[in-house]
Amino acid sequence: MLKKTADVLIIGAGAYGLSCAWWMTQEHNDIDIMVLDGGGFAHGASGRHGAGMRMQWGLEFNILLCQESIRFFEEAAERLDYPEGIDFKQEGYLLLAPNEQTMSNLRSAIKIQHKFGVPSELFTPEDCLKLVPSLNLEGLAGGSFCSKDASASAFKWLDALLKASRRNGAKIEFNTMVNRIERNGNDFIAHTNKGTSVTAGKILLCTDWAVPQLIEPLGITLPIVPFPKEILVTEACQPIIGPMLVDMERHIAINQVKNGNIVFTVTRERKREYSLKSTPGFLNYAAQNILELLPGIGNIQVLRSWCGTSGETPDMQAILGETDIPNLFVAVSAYKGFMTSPAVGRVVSRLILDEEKDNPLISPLHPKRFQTGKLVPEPLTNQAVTS
Amino acid sequence: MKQRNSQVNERTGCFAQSSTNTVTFFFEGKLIKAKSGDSVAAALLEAGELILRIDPSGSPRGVVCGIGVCWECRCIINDVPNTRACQTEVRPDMKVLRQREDL
Amino acid sequence: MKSQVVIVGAGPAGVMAAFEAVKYGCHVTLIDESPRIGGQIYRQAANGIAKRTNIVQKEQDRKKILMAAFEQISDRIDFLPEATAYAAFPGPELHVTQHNHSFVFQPKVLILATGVSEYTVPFSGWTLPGVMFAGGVQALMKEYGVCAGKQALVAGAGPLSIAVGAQLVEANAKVQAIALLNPLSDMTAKPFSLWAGRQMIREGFTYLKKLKRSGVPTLNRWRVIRAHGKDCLKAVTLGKMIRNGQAVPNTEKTIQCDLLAVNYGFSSNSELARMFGIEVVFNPEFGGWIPQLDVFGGTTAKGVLIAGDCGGVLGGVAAAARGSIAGATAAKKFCGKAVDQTTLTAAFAELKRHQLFQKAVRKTLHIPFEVYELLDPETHICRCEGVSLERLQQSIDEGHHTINAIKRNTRAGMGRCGGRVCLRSVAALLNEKRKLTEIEPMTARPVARPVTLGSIANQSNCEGQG
Repeated sequence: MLKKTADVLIIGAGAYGLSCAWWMTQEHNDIDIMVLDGGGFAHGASGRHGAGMRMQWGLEFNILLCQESIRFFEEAAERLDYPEGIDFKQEGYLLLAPNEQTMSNLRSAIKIQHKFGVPSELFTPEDCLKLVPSLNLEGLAGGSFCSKDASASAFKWLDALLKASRRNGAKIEFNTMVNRIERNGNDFIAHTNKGTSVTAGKILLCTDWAVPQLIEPLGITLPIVPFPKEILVTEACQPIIGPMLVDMERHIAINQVKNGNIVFTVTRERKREYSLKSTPGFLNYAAQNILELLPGIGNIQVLRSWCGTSGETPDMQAILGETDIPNLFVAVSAYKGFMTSPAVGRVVSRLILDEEKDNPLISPLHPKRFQTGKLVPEPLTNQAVTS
Repeated sequence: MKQRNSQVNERTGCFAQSSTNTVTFFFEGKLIKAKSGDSVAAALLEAGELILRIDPSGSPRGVVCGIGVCWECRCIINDVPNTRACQTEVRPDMKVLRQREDL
Repeated sequence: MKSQVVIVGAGPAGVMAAFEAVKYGCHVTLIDESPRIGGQIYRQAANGIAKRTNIVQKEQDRKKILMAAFEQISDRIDFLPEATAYAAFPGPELHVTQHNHSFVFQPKVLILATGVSEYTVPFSGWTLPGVMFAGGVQALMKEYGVCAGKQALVAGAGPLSIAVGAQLVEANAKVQAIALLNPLSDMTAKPFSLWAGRQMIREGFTYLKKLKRSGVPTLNRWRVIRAHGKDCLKAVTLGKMIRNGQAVPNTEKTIQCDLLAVNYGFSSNSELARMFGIEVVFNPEFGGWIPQLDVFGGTTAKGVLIAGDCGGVLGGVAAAARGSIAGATAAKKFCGKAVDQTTLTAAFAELKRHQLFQKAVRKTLHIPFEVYELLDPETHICRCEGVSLERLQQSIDEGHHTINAIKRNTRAGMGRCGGRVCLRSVAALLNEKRKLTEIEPMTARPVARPVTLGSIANQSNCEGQG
């Protein structure tokens, strides 16, 4: 039984896990950080999403976390010493509102965003059309646009974090699943499916929908429910869609990435379970909805579709903080992992390493809110739309 | 939904095409002569035109697998980009342009 | 009336499967991407002038028989030409696109006879126009009577190079040489197998004779090192190897050519099979990732049978036999028909012959791993996404040892070809880290081939199809 030790063991090498590992090793060279992931590179939700990032939210903490993150993404190539870059594209996000009620929500959100210097503006349908000439205006009441919102390659982001963290001395292992955590005095022992064990002074759980199964044996519950979503990507084509589009009626997020491929995240009702399976009805459902919104793109070819699972929480917000067990932390994103990972890495790593124990920025996202009932639902989106 | 031309040619064991007429089309503005039934790829190769596309890094590309699997031969045919030359039959006055993916 | 039997692929396996199934009274739908039946091996001429590629009379005869078989049934089946099967789900359920429309089939039984595509070891300069797959060169001659070049070099592993070389000679191209990775005499290591395939050997000799008479040299144990040219192919450098793949120093030779026809093996088009969750095993000489099946073509997926080379390369004659077996099995096991044993017995006997013979042929298809080590590091292994050998090696050195992980880490396999051209090379690069047979392919997902949004949106169910 091989015993390894670490000062901090991070379980899950997705966007949150790797970002925390990087921040910890970047700001400290005297602590041992280990990251274990049960799958291969980018196997989880961090490798399966639409890869957009926006500051346009209705709640302060989301606005600030995303704003700080986008600033980091702008300089990611330098900060992580990743010369090839992360395919960063900054042409904004256009949120499309189907009715006056949504327009009203957007208006309120913009007021709050402006408090923090977010350059967002309310758009008429004609403004939307000017920005995206291929849009179908039918059923569109208007929108909200922020030019600093952006997108990047999720894979290059993860690779940059992985390489930089390893250069900093973090030990990162893939295909090693922690299947049981046991308390050992003030420390923990994490047992893996390879028959090895890791003793650690602190554990950070970044396994998203899989967090509950690791903490339940320790007597902690957190309301994280797996929710699978499917997504499709087209061939690379001429740039026709500049900003990332979020259709709040049809629950589609559309991202024409730097290479020219168009990624469509289409949310539809599905059984709440962990799944990577493609469903028979998805492509037709997605294609019909996409062509309603962008009628002229019928000739563009779909290259691939896939499925990923992330976790839902009751208010669809992240869970960041220390659990009831001292030194056992969670960082779960509720479908906003990629876009908040730079900032979350910073605040959570400082939280864990005792530097910023009570950061007011993330206190609304503490796990205890589910006991106190202080949920913080995001006014700008409903349950289903998460991009 | 029948197969085209259901007359089997005794000698070749193939279904005979009705004619061996010439069809002309344009490649990069040049007039190219093809046989009726030729694919764009076949006609261009016969005419000595090998470069169908320039890839994002600037390298010239042409027909590779010949059976529609690799997509290397994609070009702009009658204003539709990403069309495989090896899977497209030549039609009279067809306009074929190299796909410039480096621009 | 609902389709009882849907067959994907109208090559010898698919057509014979249709022939048997309809003979026993099943309702059959036969699908193919091409406008004409025949698959790759019996590719039909698109127009009246086809260059005579049928040097071997017996091959010609087999083609005629297949065409005649199709003629017999064409009025009694639904044939969907220019149709692409792009998604498959347990059921079985199959999504097919034809022109701007898509259909959903939910047959009692689905027969996948999707054949193979070609593989080559990458080399420096392989993206130059003028470098083509040998089977594709052959297809151009068969279908359009077009010779893809004037001065050709054929290079590869296995007997296809000999056939294509002879066909190029017949088409009046100047064939500079045939460069084989392994000499055909390697087949003699399996004498019983050779005897089983003596008819095929005789046919092979016809091609060899043609090459000899035209003075085309066969270079044994030579590999392609580099293709040269600025905008198009002008010359190819070959290098000699010894038996285990190691290069013999100072043996490079450069040959002028405007066409390089390469084939270092075949890859099963197993994407649809894998979408059903059918297990595959990686076997480079047998066709890459081969679906697991029983002697009838049965699989672990309910209602899914596999026929022909997509279930492992045994050649066109065996494919027809496997098609017959699958068709009869479909009729008997899934449509409740009484099936006559004699056809099956004959088909199994033919199949056995080719299973035995191919054991010998496979000896010529072996690619030593050393061949990959001799590539220039800047060589693009993934042509679609421009991923170099160097980048792939880096990924492997950093601990990414599955195709899926390497794909996500480097983008290799994310292009339009769906990894068909490059992922076998990626698997070969993993040979030191993983047991080859255990390397899983890229996850199979809809769509199997690129399909337009418009076609997918425009969908109808095939329940009502007659």
